[in-house]
Amino acid sequence: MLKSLKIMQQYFPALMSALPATMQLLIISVVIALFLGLLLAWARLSKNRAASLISYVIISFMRGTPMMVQLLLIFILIPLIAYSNGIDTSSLSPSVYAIISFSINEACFFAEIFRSAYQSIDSGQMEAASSLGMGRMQIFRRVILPQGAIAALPNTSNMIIELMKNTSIASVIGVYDILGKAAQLGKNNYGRGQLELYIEAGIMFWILGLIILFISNLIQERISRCDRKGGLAHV
Amino acid sequence: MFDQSMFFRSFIPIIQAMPTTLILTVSSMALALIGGIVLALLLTCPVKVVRGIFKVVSSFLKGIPILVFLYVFDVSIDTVMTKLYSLFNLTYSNRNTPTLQFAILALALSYTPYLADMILSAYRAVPRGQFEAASAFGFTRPQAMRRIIIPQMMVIAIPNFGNHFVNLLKATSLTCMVTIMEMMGTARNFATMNQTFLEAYTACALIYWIVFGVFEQLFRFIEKKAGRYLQPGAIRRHRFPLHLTPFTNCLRTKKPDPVKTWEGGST
Repeated sequence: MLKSLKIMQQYFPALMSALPATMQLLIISVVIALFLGLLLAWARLSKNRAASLISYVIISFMRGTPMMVQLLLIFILIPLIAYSNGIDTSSLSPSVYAIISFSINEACFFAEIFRSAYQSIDSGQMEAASSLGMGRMQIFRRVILPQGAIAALPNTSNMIIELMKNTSIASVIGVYDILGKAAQLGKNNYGRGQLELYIEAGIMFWILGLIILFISNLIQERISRCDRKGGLAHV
Repeated sequence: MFDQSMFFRSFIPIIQAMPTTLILTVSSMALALIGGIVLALLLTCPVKVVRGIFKVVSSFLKGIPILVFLYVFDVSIDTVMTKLYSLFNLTYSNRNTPTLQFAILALALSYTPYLADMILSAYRAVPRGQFEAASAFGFTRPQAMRRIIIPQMMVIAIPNFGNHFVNLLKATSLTCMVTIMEMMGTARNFATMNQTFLEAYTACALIYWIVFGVFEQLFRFIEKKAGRYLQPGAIRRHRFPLHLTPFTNCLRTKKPDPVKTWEGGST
């Protein structure tokens, strides 16, 4: 037991050095996914049949296939497309493919969340806003977004934590995130101390998840303050 | 760039590996369900300390990626099996390691807290009046649970259960990292053997999509079938034991919202 702790302590700095890679994967993917998700949700809800259908098929595919298949597919597909267009991708780091794959995947889950959040808003709100003479962007920014965010945030933060856990899949294509680093270090010493390394990586993921949960709770409290009794919504 | 004949040829080995995927999914779901029931009982234990401990355990299990579980279990196979065999004075040969069983355990363990949550939320979704009515009718608590509460909990939990099931189905693709030849592993193997990565992965993705769709429709069907007594006027249409009528009366107008959680979603 003491020996295990010692091994964990010995490897801790090395694993910490891989933390920025995980955070980078997570943050960039989430930011891209938020925009893409809004776009997909908008296409899904639009009256244009073709846009709605395309968005539906994309969302269904991304939800129906494992993340690992998507990651490997993108890892193969993008260099092939780039190569046939005469672009050399050999200097690109694998984390680029991981970010592309994760952000598309996450966008589809976000799109479903945003869609249900949008549908939970009373349609009278939109009618009232447009009768006040607000433009479409104004309605989105002042009416839909504040109310939709309250409805969507718990699920969104859940999905972000899930994505944080799933960034470990990026180690499959050779990204040195926390798990990738742990797997690499585990191959030293003829595999001695592998178990401790993996458990330590797991604990790091857990703590990261708790931090994200804490932050999302703070944001939830902040944005739903107008939803409470006596708040703005009830004036 | 895209070799069509290789694309169609790669379907064969991947479909042949489908039973392994299904075995992995179904058996780890069954184990996770048992574990989830135990964990749910522990989480509602009247002793406060036990509840606190298992809350932390549940959060810990939820916070760890499935891949880490798989690696941890895979690494500890030899140690655990050697100890287990020496208990019965046998010698363990690592020629045929039980990788599949350990992968099932790992997947089951990672889904246990989600299923415990599912069971608890289903329990809370049963209207309080049901308990009161049951005790007013002189049901003992185990009787009330078995006859009144659990049947309703099952109906409420079906959408969530289906969600977790299809997610677990997708998560089994990760087991190819611990040398299990399920659909993903076979696709990778086939791709490396023939140097046709794009074709094999596309075929694999398509098959996963189809299997996912089939199971999703199946659970939707089950949900509809199981929830039919919740439809208005159901009592008149269906034979119901007379002593159950008062309990179903209050359900007549109320249809539970299809609860959708996104936990454990994207693997």
